[in-house]
Amino acid sequence: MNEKRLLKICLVISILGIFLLLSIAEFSQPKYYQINDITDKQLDTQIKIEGTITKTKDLPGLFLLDLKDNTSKMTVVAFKDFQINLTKGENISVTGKIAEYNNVLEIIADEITIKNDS
Amino acid sequence: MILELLIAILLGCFTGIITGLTPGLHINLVAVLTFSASYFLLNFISPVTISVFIIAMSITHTFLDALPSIFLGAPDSDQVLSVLPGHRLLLEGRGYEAVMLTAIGSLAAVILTLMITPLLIPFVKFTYPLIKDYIPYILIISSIFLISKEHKSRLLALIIFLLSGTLGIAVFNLPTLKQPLLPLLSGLFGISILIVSLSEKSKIPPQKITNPKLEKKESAKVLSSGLITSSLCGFLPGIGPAEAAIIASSPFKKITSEYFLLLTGAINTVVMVISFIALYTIDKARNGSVVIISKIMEKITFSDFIIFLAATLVSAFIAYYLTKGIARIFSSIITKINYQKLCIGIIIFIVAIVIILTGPLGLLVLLISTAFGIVPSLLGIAKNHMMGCLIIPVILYFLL
Repeated sequence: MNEKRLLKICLVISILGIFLLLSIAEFSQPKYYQINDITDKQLDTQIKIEGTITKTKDLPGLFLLDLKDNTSKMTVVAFKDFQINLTKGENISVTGKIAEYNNVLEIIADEITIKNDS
Repeated sequence: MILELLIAILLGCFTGIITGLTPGLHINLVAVLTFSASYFLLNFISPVTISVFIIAMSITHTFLDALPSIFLGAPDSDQVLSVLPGHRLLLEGRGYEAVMLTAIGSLAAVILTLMITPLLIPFVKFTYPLIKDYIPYILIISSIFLISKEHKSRLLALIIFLLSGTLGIAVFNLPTLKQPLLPLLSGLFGISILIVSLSEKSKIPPQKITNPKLEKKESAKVLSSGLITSSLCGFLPGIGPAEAAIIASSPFKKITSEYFLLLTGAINTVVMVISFIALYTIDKARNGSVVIISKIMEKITFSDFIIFLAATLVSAFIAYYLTKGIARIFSSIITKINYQKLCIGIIIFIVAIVIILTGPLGLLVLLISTAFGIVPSLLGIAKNHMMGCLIIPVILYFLL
């Protein structure tokens, strides 16, 4: 295959591919999980959970929230760039990546929404 | 404990030989595999021992990755700049000398870095809080500088940089993709380079075993420039050895292939050592290996840090002699290797690892990244502009 042809093919795949990936990123929603169903398999992937805040801890640079749903409990790590007031007893929905700290799974929040039904 | 650490260093050096010699096998991939295995390994050995293994592997990798870069023309992302001067010497029958130049640079740089570590610790501690808020602006200025140094076409370099950034943003925002760096970097800097070098069938002449001849004064100037630039770049996110080498070589009006290889060897290793220092001093992980160490170690104490530095020095000496021996073997067998079969085997291996660890979405990312990774090579533009895939998302992360 000559170089010009290869260049054209690569350019087409790259540009269409980048748009395709941008569309997938834009339109695919993170999968909703109940806390009990989250395992090591979800490590590093973005998911969504919902529940009630049972405890808040204010640390330098971040908040640690204990979130409880019908099945279990999980720690939510929220960096302080969130312009949101979170208190105990509030129902929230959290989108973020699953990480592991001290052999325990936790979620690093990318987005936190307060649910109206609280 | 000492015996356990020595075994970890030897095993790390052995693994570093494999990762360093295998084109397209990025050190991050092995670090991720080690992390996966660490759940099991931690039942038997301490986190410090696993970290020492990773350090020995990473240091050895930075010495040996010059071999595929120079002899096979298939570098990883950290060695992209050594290909041209290295290949030029190879075609003159001086491939061994080219490899030894990078190895001398690496070893000298490790010794110098460890000597100035007592100064580097307060320097990094003091400088990082000062520049932390300016990181996106420093990255923007560095990127403009790197694009302006492009000889062929600055406009094309800018387009490649921006498109890489868009690709990086898309990949990092895919919610269900695990390990996004693996297919992204393996495509941009691994398989794409192998495909391009498969299509170029240059004839390699018989190789001579000659030792490099370097002037002390010029070597000291080049190493100092490399050390200063690496110290500044080593703790900045998104800036890797290739970018540091361009910045470090800019004060020299004309730098010969020999001294450029010395510089790239030095920077490649120093950036790795500085990233260990950055982890200890500012708790920031700047590359895959260090990310895994930070995950394995709950807290790095001063004595752990001293063990890490000692492991770095011992590994560097072992890696130097390994490089010397393996470069001799490469020089004698390079004309007999079936390079095409080797490349195809490595491509199949990377694709398999990506499918296993990241699934079909990772495979799609790998395909797109590979196609995009081929573009700069065909346009004659430096591949380091594709580091935009990390630099632009980092800039946006800090600014937005």
